[in-house]
Amino acid sequence: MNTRIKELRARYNLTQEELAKKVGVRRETIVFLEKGKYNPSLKLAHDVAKVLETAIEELFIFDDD
Amino acid sequence: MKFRIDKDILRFSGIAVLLILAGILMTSLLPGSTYPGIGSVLIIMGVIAIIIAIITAARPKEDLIQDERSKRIKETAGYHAFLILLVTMSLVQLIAMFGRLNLDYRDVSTNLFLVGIWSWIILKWYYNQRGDAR
Repeated sequence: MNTRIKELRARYNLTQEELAKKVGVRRETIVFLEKGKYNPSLKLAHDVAKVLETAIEELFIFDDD
Repeated sequence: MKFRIDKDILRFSGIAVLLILAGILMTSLLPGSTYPGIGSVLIIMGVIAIIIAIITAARPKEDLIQDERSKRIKETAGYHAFLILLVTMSLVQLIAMFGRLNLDYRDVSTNLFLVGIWSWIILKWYYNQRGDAR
């Protein structure tokens, strides 16, 4: 899984800490989300997408294989 | 290093100090052979509690919130630690059944408890390093 969180976060000038605070998670969770190592719940994916003003499918890119 | 001082930290530190004081009282003032033993355990518990309070106070409060990732890691680590404990107990039972070692559950219960606790701690650390528990 790849994500565009880092790219969109930079566009909105948000730090990992600020994004974490906005969606109510730890900063480490945002770190692992950006690395594509953490598979978030639908609720967290929705919250992050809402803060970054994008759609969930734009934010998370899944490899087909 | 900046230390956070809030109600929870102060309460926890207070309990730790009380434990140490109770321990000192038991080891030095009360007669008999039982109290010094309990007293030293209380002192050790108090010291551990103070170390935990210092470590907690050094971390930002945001780091301590339970989010979905930490909850998932804790639950999965607990489930896997329980499975490890069951497998260990089965192995102990098998060894006892075949009589290679004359084991009694009362003798190994403390070790089994340690296996469970340490499995949980190590698995929690491992899943936290990996990022996810899936």
